[in-house]
Order: sequence, then C-alpha cells, then structure tokens
Amino acid sequence: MHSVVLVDGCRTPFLKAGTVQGITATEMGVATVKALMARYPHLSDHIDIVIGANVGNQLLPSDGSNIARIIAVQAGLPKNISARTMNMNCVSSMAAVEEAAMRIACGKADLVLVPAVEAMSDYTLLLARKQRARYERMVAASNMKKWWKKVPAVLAAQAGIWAHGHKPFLSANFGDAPLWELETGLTDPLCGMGMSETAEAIAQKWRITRAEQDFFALDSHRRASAAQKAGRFAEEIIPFRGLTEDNGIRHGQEMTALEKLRPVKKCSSVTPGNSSQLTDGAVALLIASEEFARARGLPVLATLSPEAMLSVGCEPKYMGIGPVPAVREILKKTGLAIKDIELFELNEAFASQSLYCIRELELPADRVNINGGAIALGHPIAATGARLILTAALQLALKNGKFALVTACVGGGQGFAIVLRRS
Amino acid sequence: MYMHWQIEYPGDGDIAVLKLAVRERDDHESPLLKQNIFRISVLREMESALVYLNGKWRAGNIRGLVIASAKPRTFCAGADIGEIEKLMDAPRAKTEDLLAEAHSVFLYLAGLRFPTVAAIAGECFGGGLELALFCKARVASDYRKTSFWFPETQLGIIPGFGGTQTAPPLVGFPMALAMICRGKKLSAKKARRACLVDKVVPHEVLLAEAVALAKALAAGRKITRTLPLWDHLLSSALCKWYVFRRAEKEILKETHGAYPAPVAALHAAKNAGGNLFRGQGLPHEVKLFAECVGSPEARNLVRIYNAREKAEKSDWGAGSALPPKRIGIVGAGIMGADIAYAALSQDREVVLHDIDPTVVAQALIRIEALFRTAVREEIFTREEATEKLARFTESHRNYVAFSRVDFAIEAVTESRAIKRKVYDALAEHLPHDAIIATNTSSLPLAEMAAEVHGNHRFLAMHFFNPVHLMPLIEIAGHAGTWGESLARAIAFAGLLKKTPVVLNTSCPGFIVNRVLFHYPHGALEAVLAKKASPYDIDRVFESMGMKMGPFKTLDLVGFGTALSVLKTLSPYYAAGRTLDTGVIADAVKRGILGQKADKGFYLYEKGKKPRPNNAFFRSLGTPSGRWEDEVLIAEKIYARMQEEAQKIVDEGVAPAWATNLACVFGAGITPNKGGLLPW
Repeated sequence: MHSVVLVDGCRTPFLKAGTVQGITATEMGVATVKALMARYPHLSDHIDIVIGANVGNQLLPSDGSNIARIIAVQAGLPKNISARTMNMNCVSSMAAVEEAAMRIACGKADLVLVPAVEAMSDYTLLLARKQRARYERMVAASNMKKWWKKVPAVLAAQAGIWAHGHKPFLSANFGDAPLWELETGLTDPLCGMGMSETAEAIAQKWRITRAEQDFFALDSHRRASAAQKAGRFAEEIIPFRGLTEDNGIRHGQEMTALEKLRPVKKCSSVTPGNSSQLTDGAVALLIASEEFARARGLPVLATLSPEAMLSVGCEPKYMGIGPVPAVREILKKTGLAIKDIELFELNEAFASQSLYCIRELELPADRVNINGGAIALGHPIAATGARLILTAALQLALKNGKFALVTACVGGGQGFAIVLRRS
Repeated sequence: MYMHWQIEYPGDGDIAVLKLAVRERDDHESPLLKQNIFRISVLREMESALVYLNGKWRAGNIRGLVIASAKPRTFCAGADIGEIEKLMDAPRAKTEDLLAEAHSVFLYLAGLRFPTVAAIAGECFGGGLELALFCKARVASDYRKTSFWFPETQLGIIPGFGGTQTAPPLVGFPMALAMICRGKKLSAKKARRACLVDKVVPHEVLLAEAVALAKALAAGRKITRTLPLWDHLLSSALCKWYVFRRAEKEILKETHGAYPAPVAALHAAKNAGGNLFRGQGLPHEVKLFAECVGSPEARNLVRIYNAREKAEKSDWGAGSALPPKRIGIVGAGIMGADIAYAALSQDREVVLHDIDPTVVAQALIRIEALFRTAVREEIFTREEATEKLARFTESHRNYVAFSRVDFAIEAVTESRAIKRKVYDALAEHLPHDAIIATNTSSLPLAEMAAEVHGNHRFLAMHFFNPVHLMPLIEIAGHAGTWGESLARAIAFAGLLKKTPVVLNTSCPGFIVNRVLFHYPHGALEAVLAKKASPYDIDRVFESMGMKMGPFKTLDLVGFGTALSVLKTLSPYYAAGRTLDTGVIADAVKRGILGQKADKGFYLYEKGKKPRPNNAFFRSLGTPSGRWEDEVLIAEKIYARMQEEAQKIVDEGVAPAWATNLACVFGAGITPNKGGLLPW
C-alpha cells in the first residue's frame, strides 16, 4: 500500500449563480486546471488519470458527455490521459478524491488530477414531456406551407406555450439561471422533498428555531468576511475572468436583513438567508503518491489515506444529518477523538442541519468553518467537497495542526467524512 | 507675549494667525487646558492682541487675520462656568458692565477693516461660537467632532457675547431661534448648509484653507451666502412675526413657563438685524442676560451642572479601576439590548443571553437599528458600525460564552425566582472575579445578595429607559460588596459616558424610584378617590417644572410595570396609605396598557399630540363629594417627595447633592428648582 498525499490545489472565486453572465462549467474547470498545471510545468505528462466531478452541467449518465475529459483536453493535458467524471450529488468531488486515493494506494497510479466544477447558472435544459409536446407543436406549426393553416396553427401553439406558464429559463432571483432545472435537480425523488424541505424537517424535529439558524448564518458571513479581508483566501483562489474574490459573501450582514426574508416554499424557518447559496465554482486538486511527490520535490499539503475516508447512508427525509454517522464512524475507524482534531470543515448546506450536526457531535464552535462556510461562500454542488479539502489543508498548514476533518451531507440521505493528516 | 494667545505668520507672512491656547491659570508657566475656555482674562488679552494686529495692518505688514485654536481638535468650549457663577452673586450692575466690556471687544473685532476668518475644528460652543460669528467668514474642518452649539439656555442663561444679534442675520430666524432658544446642535456639514460656516475642508488643510480665504477676501473677493429657500422666506420681514410666535409657542409647550431663559433669548433675538454698532440689540441682550443670570432657575441649573461634573469625575471613595473588556448581559429585553448597544459603541465585546433565541435575534435587530441611526447622525461611519457589531455574540443554550466575561449584567424580569436561577447558572461558567451587576429597580439588594456565590462582587447598576437618552446610572452595593467592585462599576459607567450616582447603602428603589414612588401613588390616590382630574394634575406639575406629569409617566412606564413597582415598594414607603389599584388592573385586562398600547390616561396617535382619554377617566367612576384644588394636591404630593428625599439623606443613603442630581437626571424632577432638596 502506497501512502497518498495532496500535492496542491486551487479554485476559482465562487460566484453567486447568475451574477456573472455566460459562465460555462468547462470554462471554469479549464481555468483551474490550467492555473494548477502552470505551477508544475512538467507534470502534465505524468498524470495517470483524471477523475473529475460534476452533477448538473453534463447530459445525464447513460450517454453522459464526461465533462472531466473535455476539461482535461481543453486545458492542454496530453490526450493519452484518460478521464472520467463522478456523480455523488453534493460530495461528488469527495468521491472523486476517494477514488484517486484508492487508485494511488494500490499502485494503479502515481499522480491523479481531480477537477471539480459546478456552474449552477448553466444547468442543462430539461423539458418535461408536456413541455416537449408544446414545443414540438410550435416547430410543426412554423413548418407549415399554407399560410391560412400556418397562422392559426402558430398562434394556437404560441397560446399553448404561454398557457403552460412555465419559465424554463428565467427567474427573478438568479438572472439567467434555469430555475426549474434547479428545482428539479434539488428535489430528492426518494422522499419527494426539496433540499430546503429536508432542512425544515430537521429544524422541526430537533426544534431549531429560525433565530438560531439566522444567527448561524450571520456568523458564517462574519467569518467569511473577516477571512476575505484578511486575505486568507488569496492562496487558494486563481483569477477567473478578472475576478479574484468570492462574491457571495455579504460584508456587514445584519440580522435585520435576515429577519426580513420570507421562508422558502413549504418551509417556515428555512430562508434563502440561512441556506447555502447557488453558486458557480471550480476546484482542481493534484493528488499523488508520497514517493512520487518527494522524488520530484513537490509540495505536500496533507496526507489522504483511503482508510480515513468513508461514506454512509441515512434517512433521505433528514438528509442533513448525514455527517453525524459518517463522522462517528470515521472517528472509530481512525481511533481519533474530537479533541484531537485541529479544525473541522462542515458543509453548511443549511443552517438547521449544520447546527444539528455540530450540536449532536459536540464539535467546538471555534474550530468549525473558521473561514466561514457555504452559507456565505456558496455551494457549487460537485465542487464543494474539493474546496472543503483544499481550505482545510491550507488552514491546517497555517495552524501547524495534525488532523483536520472534512464532512458533508448529501441529498438522497448520505454523509461523507474525510480525515486529513499533516506530519 | 500673551498668556492665552499665540500669533504666527505662516507662509508669505501677510496673513496673521491668532491662536487660542488657554492655560489653567493666568500665568505664563501654567499648563494648557485640554479645551479652550473663554475667561474674562482671555477676552482682555484678545483685545490687546487685536489692537496690536490692527497696528500691524495699518503699517502694511499684514492683510488679513485668521483666528484658530492652538489645540488641533477643539476650538472653544464656551465661557467659564465658574465665572458665570460669580456673576450670579454679584450685583446686577457688575454683570452689565462686564458684558458691555465684552461687547466692545467683539465690536472692535467686527469693525476691523481687514478680513477676519475663523478656522474651526472640534467643539465650537457658546462664547467660542459667538467669537466665530463676529469674524467675517468661517471655515470648518471635516473632523467628526466639529459641532456648533449654544448651550446657554440649558444652564438657565442666554448667549451673552452677542450671539443673539449675530446669528439671525447669518442663518435666518428659524435656524437661529432653534439654536439660541432650543439648543440645536449643528455638525460641520449642517452648518455649511445653514450658511453658518462658509466652507468645510479636510482637517489637515484647515489652517491653509483659512489663510487662503483670508487672502482672497483681502484681494477683494466677496462671499455670497444663499440660505435654504424655506429659511430665506421665513426670515423676511413679513414672516418674522409668524416665526417668533411659533417659536414662542413651542418653547412654552416644552417648558410650561418654568424656565425663563429660552423666552428671554427669544426676546433678545427679536432685535437682531439692526445696526450692530449703534442699535439697541446688544444693550438689550446685556439686560436680558443680567436678568437671567440672577434668576433662581439659572442658579439651580448651574448647581445641577456642577453636581454632574462632580459625579462623573469623582471616584466616590471606591478608588479607581479599569473599565471592563468583555461584557455579558443576561436578559435580551429592551434594557439588555440597549445596554449591549451602549457597550458595543465603546468597542467592547458583548455576549447577550436569553433563554429564547428569538428574543436575542430581536434584540440584535434593535441594536442594528440604533447603529443605523447613529450612522445617519454621523456619530459613526458605516464601517465603524460594522466593526462594532462584529463584536456581538449571542448565547441561549448555556452560559459557556460567559467564561471569558469580566463584567456580567443581569437584566431579566423583576422576579426573585428567575433571578436566582440566573445566578445559579452563571456560577458554573462566570469567572470568580467577574462583577455581577443586577439592573433591578425595586427588589431588595441584601436579600438577593444572599443567593449569589461570591457576593463581594455583586452590586446593583440601575439603568434608566431609554438607555441612550438617560445619562443616569444608580450604583449601589450591599453590605458585603467590595470597594473594588464598586470602582469597577463606576469605571464601566464612565466608559459608557454615563453619570453615576453611587449610594452609600442600598434601599429598595434606590433614590429615583423611592422618591418617584409617591408621584403616581399620590396622584392615583387623588384621582381614584375622585377628587380631581388627572389632566389638571398633570398640567399643574408640568408648570411646576416636572418634565412629565404623573399620569403621562404612568402611561410611559406602562400600567403593568407601574403596578408591580408600586406593589413592591408600597410596604416600604406607602406609610400605611393603601391604594386600591384594582381599577388599573382591570384596565390592563381590557387592553388599556399605557403608551405601548396607544391607550392609557391619554390617547396616543402617531404624529399628533397625546389627547386626554376622557372615556377611560369617566369609567373610573363619577366624582363623589367635592373636588379638591389640584394645585393643593400637587403641592402635597411634591412635599411627600421632598420628605422622602430628605429621609434618603438622613438615613445616609446618599448626600443631598447626589440625591438632587439623581432626581433631575433619572426622573426629570424640577430641574428648575435644582431637584427636591434645598442646596
């Protein structure tokens, strides 16, 4: 068994979905990969495989277009390196990192590139059957030859589209981002609930009031704002289209503003203010075997051993509690205790589920998400896991600590946990 | 050359700069005062300096003059209160002579034939403002504390250095009357808009800009001042009558005739606009000033002012201590939130705790609103407010956050049981040397102390509502409170820029509520016995000088709170007089709660004056027997309050001056009489 290390990583600034027009996932992924590989000019040829992560920006699985391959080639990597894309919803990049680590550990690869990307403002357009039927009717009507048939047909088809009332493209909140796609994508078919509704269910069951959730959100923004102002993100962010800072953070966020927000559909305490944001973002990680890294004098940010990574399933209705069983199991497996861990990165999908996990696991609040979390920074679904790993590794180095714990919940009722070690 | 003035000739040397640098005493070795005070000796030196500079102008050496302060962040804070006090005892003729002399010096300044420009940064109050007004132009710095103010009416006198004559032609009558009679304060920006100041410049270049302006004026440039349209229209001769009538009405509404000074200032300002040198305006101001200075109201107001200075500077025999660094507040009601805001404003870390996190969220929203108001009034910048707010921490599940707190304030409901629970819970996490201060207003301190672990650090700090407007804090220890703890509480009051009154021993209700108990108690006695109308009683008290009549006070405090305080304090102070408050309790059930419910003894509507709630009064029953004279009733109640205040002094709870100070600042009790007790 080889020992696996995280060599380096970088990310684009995380941009609130719809704030910057015309972003594509490929563009973001390529930017991160190019920047990362520019730091190690001769490594491109030595990459054994590329395992990327994405959820919504590719055509869905069976004839999927495998965005990792497109990113790899467009970023200039040699075409003989194969690539594949993982989909495990919110923790797709953690799954990609686990795959990379296992490959390296059993000797099948020395160096793996993990590009994780999500452009939530550019989701692939899905059409329900009814919608497709109406558009097909419009196309057929426009193709008619005889004008006395064409005009009424076109008018009728147009009326049909208007009557459908569906706005597949535009939404007031997200600019050009496809609202309906997002709503569909964020609804779990297992329990028929949207992600916000599962967060509300957790809030109801464990009596987490709206005020507590708002305070948690306030804290996340404050920490992220302080971190951005102190320049703690400068190391991990590469410029993208001239932007260098995450734009979802609200500096000087106030309780007054949070209290004014109305709860999300079908919820009574979960609001857009205390949920993670819809974001476009990409992260690229280089993972290698320790010998490879040391032989070439590459930096070693942290050790990622496959034994210190695992995923567990839980009740889909309360998907947000996923980190609890995952963390408990990984602590048992690694023999560590909460007090041994220097810092925790917990994905803030929603304030309610984050609060539940922190309280249930008794995590020390001053060590969790010290640079803020997804409520302030955003949650580009597939890229989030990689960002948590990157941020945790860099902060661990800064604090000279030994262990960091990265964990997230997954829509569909799962949890993932990874322990990073630094020697 | 001069003790309190310096003359410089910067740059080309053709503009002289006369800098005010007042020393503690009239000799050359004395150290400089922190702020410039306009003493008579300073004025006399100014005359010699001006004569000297006039000579230099005649000789062609200088072309203009800038008057500034040698102390970079304060211009002049007004006249010397001590000298004004001496005038109060002096014969009237002496006052008039002194003032006439002052006026002649200022007229000399006004009559100089070369341009004079005042360069102002920081406080420009009273006599200092009047000095600036006699210059031909004024330049102000954008330094945040720069402000323009006539504080004289607050001390029972009127501006006596010509301010009533020079301000109105410059800023128009409406603004002038607001400043002179009602003490309106202007920031640099507002002063610019009002034409009080001709230019606002960055602080670093204040002097340079003033010198440049003087040069320009000397070269023949004219200054045009355009008042805002409304002020311009209202200052015309046609509207003058209306403006004065309206101002007079507003003053009487506020003072109810108990304070002569604002009205005198109004009359003095009526003459403004005539010839400054030969007209009757200035001599008339002298006469009115002399009248006010000799009035008992002025004497009492100055005594209160001195008492306040004494209270703020004294260590009350407790020694000195440092103010706290991290403050923890239990109870996120209005008081808790307001105290948190006060502490956050002074850059302290604050933990605010309540059992219900929603209450804490509402408190934070209230604090954020207070910061927004402060930013709008330019007390802080937006960035400063965000920085201060970032030091706020919420707490609701346990008191773990209190483990780093060095000063804890308990501001929960007035219930022994609830407070006991809080003290027990705090004991687990609060450090042993942290102060525990309770904001109780009526519970007996000694009994509460028995329930606190380590009660040498337990004391009462009684804040008043609303905290950001009421400067008073009553501080009382029980028998076992260490002096050091009291010193730390006093230091905290100082940090919050409040006036502490420290009791020697504690008693239920401390000073203010103990004295004030008789106010609604006696008044309700009379009204519930159907001997008088509440509205008449309110009127009599307000014309006596009480800031608010007893029934308006009941409405403000709220019937619920008032009933519970009356109930708690009755055993101690009612002296056997029982009051059947059943009717009020019924009213509470019917939803008549006081101001909070817009219905009490008065009806409250937004934007309108409170109206008597006659329906409610009638529901209290029809009068039986003869009505008593409400003036007699009011005097009886007032006498009871005076007796209680005297008992406070006799029991050794607090000295007379402190008792008076507390009554004035905590309850607005006849400031025109200097409080309740004779001085």
